Amino acid sequence: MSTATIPPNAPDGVPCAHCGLPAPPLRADQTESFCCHGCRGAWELIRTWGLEEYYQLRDSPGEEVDEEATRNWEDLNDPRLLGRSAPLAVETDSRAPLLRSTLAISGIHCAACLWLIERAPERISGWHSSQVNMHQRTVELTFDPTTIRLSEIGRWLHRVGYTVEPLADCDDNSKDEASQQLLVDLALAGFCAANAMWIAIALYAGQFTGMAANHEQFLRIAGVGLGVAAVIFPGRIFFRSAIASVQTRTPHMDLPVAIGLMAGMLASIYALIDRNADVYFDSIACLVFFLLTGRWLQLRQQRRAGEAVATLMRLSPTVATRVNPDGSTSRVAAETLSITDHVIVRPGESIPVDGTITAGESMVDRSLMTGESCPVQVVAEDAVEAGTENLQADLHIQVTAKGDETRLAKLQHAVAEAAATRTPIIQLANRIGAWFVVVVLLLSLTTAVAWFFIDRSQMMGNVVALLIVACPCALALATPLAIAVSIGRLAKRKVLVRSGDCLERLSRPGILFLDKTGTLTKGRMQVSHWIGDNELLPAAGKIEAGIRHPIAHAITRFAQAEIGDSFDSLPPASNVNQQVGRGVEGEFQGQHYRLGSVQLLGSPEFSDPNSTSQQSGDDRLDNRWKSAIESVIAAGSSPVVLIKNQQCRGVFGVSDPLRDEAGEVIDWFINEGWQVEILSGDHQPTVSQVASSLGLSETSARGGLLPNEKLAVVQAATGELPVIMVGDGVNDAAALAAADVGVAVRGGASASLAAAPVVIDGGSLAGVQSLVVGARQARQTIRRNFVISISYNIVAVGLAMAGWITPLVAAALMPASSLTVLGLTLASPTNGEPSESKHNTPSNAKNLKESR
Amino acid sequence: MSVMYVALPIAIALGATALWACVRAIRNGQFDDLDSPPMRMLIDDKPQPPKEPTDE
Repeated sequence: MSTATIPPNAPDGVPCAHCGLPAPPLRADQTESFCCHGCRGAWELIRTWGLEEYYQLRDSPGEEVDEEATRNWEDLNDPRLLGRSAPLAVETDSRAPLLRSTLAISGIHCAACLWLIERAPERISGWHSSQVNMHQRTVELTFDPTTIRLSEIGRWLHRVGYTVEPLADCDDNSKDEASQQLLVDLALAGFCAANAMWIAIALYAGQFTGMAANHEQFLRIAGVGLGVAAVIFPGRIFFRSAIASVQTRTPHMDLPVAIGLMAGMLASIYALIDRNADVYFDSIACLVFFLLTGRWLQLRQQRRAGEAVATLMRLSPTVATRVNPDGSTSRVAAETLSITDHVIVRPGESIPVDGTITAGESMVDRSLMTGESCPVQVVAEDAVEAGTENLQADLHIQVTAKGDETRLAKLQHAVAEAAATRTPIIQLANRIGAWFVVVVLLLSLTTAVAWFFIDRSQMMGNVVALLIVACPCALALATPLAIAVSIGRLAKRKVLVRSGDCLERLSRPGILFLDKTGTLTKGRMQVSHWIGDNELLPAAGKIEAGIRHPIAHAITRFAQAEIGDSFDSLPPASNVNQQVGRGVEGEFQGQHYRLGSVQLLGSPEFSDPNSTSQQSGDDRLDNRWKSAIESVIAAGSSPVVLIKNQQCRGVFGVSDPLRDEAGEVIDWFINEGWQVEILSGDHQPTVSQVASSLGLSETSARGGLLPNEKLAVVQAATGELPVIMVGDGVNDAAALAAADVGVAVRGGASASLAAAPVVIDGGSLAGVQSLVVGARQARQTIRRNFVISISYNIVAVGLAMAGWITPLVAAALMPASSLTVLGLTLASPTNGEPSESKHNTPSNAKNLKESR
Repeated sequence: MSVMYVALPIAIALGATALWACVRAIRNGQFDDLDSPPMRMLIDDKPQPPKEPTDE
């Protein structure tokens, strides 16, 4: 009997050619390897279409194709069940009318996905076009209903790894309209500001070289016209909120802005009558433009929060199978269900409502609520939540809550609220901008008055010079430029920062919260140990092949990797029968096998004391297996025993291994003075074990947290110190949105990606480290830029007031400060290489630990 | 210098035309999705092969 033991963290072979997950190593006759049949199918289909260029175009691997998901695509053919996605006829030149439908799509993440989806229609007759909107994660499909049905398109897209769903109600257009209105205002303000600026330059030049009075007056009239237009049309929103601020007696940023705009406008209009006074139309038009730009950026951020909710909404199915009073069933839209209705949920379907099980027992994937990939067993009288997935058998469920009342909907609201109530950072430049006009007006008034008594002939020139050099271009440039440079540098290290203020928040050490499953761990069950005869692997692999359970997947993958291609040609197992919560039994090549937890052995020292295990008698356990199971447990893995004809013949150790870099990254953060905590939905003992293996104290590991509890922990911690939350699951989404900086790890749920302002694309935790280092450097650059531009402005304004610079010199000095800031920012040192030490991880981590 | 009385209104009018075009584009929704078009333009079009009559 040959025995193979796989050490933990054994090399995983090669990445899957389609999704990049670990796949069996290549053999001589192979050029690519796949982790599963779904990925192989997708790869072959893409080749058949002649679209294999996709693999060159993409910059990150695709998503794993779940071939086993048994989805009811037929629902896509019933317009009544599609809601807002119901197909509409489009006008065509001659033939039968085409239909167009907009559906939500998941699984897209880069340009290659877009390319693949938009090229696919060329290969399939009847499917005319598809247009992807990356922003909203929707796809607009145009097809010929006489040749192809929507369900077939859905199935095609699913085969290459994308899933379409009808749009939920929250995917509406009102946000687009608000954004459009703001953009129109922005365009108008930009137009006024740019033209006013040119006219102002002409006037300044006229001050210096001399200009006919009637020409000067003409330019003044044109400039004031533009300035007034900028204040009246795009600038009206500042007056509106300033009036509201006065009425409610709450001081608001817009109040000084409105006063400044009003003063500038009135002074400019007065200057039209009194030719000796100055006009400020360019300042006020530019101010309106810059402030609106800030607003627009802010609105974009808010829209992102809205998208997070929209992605979450898509998680609960919109269609349910209702049991009618006469016993028949019908597919209905989930909204039309009422409390006390009964629904049937087939295996592989998501549960559409919160409810109580009335009949049936099955395993349910509750990862949405707990973040754990291991399904839990449910029986009659148990409560189940909308959005969780039924895995094994039909469940009859009585509806207790639907629509907005479900726990999923409450989670959605929590995400939206957390994103909206996050304290916004008002950029320093904006705060200064609000007072800028007032200060400059006062200063120029002082200058005018002073020079009126000193030397009237120089009065005009000095005031104009002051107005020019006081232009806060460098000041306005300082922050966004430093942030933009940092974001660009971080993007090269696969850390995608979507909102620049994240970097401003990470100024000093604070609290780092980490999710466990999928963030600290790889989030994927792997066989770490196999003690037994390799000849038994085909049986184990084939019996587990049809089971939807992460441990079963791990064993099948392991068997496939060990046996190779001949595994696929082996006959399938027969009489496969799942025993909920315990394991699976089946026949393979005439022999009877059982696979499952140690409870199957019925031996008291390994069985759960609460279990009502009936197995005993012939299942004898000799010392060899006892010690094997003990060694597996000691290594932190879960043992799975293989029983052949009532004899224990093998032990698998299955675990979700820690990411290689987890220990190193955590050590780095602790050394930097951060407080590191684990927030997990998993059981407390497991979380504590992970914490201790990472060198964290017992108190910093919090297990058994529901999404709203994670949110509460994060919200309680938010305050003085910056809070980073790193997570990957839907259950983390609310906490990610609430934290000062939410970091989502790619490969997780799309809802968490949408909720978090930072996404680590490479899936390596070292990205969090890069982020903090990048933020620190950005902050240093910003501070230096501010010092330079403010000291420049103070010195230059002083010189202008003293009458030492002419308007022309001022006009030359102004861009000089902007260029200095620009040059220094671009030349600032690049981000350090925190992940460089990755290659010597173990020794490094040990050294760090010892040095603490 | 009196040419300025003509040139300035023309300049403003030209700018206003561009502004009108921009506003039209905004209202058409061309600025709603700022994520996919920059990706789409990176990918070259290839001559379309003839469509096969059957699926797959």
